Amino acid sequence: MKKLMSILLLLISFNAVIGQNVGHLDGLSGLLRTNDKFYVVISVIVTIFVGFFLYLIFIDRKLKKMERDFSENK
Amino acid sequence: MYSFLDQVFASKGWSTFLVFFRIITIAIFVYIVGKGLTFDAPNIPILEQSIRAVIYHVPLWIGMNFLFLAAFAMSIAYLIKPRWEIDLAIKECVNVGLVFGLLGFLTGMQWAATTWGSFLPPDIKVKASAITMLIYLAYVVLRTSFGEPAQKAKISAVYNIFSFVAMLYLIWVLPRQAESLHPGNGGNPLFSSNDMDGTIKPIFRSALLGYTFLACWIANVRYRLVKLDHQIKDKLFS
Repeated sequence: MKKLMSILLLLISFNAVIGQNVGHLDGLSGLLRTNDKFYVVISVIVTIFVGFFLYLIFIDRKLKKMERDFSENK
Repeated sequence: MYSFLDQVFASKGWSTFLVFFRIITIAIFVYIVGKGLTFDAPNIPILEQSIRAVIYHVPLWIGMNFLFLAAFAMSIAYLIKPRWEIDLAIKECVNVGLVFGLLGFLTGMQWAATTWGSFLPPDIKVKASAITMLIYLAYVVLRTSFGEPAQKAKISAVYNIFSFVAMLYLIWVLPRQAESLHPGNGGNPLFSSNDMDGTIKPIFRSALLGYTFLACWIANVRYRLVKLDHQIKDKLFS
């Protein structure tokens, strides 16, 4: 009886760890968390580069507009 | 007051310096991306390999801070002795600073989503940086509400001085007094001499320098653009 109860107790005690790992590895943030979260660094760098290139394109369009206004108003 | 600066900026030594400065910026960026992704980083709890993102995320904010500091200094100079070029330069510094701040915010959200569990954690520094960006966005909006250029420049220079002081408190002082997830605030260790390993320190420090240089470079290009546009319009309509 004592042995049976102790075995049951040990089996039930594993319930405590079921709460861990919830939310891990699902969705986009889960994908970024694989491979020791190395992809976060990649996404940060890509964000920065894409952001700067979009800004460059924005400046270039503004410059083109200015050039067009200048040549029209000549 | 500005005659000395005018001479310096028109000289050949200055253009040589600018070329040198741009080459250094590019070299730093190549070094950061190359070494930052490949140096040996041990897996620490929660952060694991994403600690590398500190090289790319934090300097964005430092670049923004530097540009806003420059705008602050130029606002004071404008109020002492007005000059339309300085007003243009202030506007461009704020514009480029806002771009850096936005990028810093986006990259911070990506990092927080994977390590702190949510895109917008209830962290005081996140809120403080959002408020700072809104304050400077209000500066941009303020400028559009004036018709007369001298009045516009004067009042926006005054507003800029207040916004900079607000930024200093919100980003640097307030998070250290409150509970925060960010390193260096709320009792957490900071990325300072004692808390950063010797391998990441040179990469991080050169990143700080490189991003600041890049911020100045972009602001300078934008300033020259807007100045040329202003001069052309003056010539056409005067």
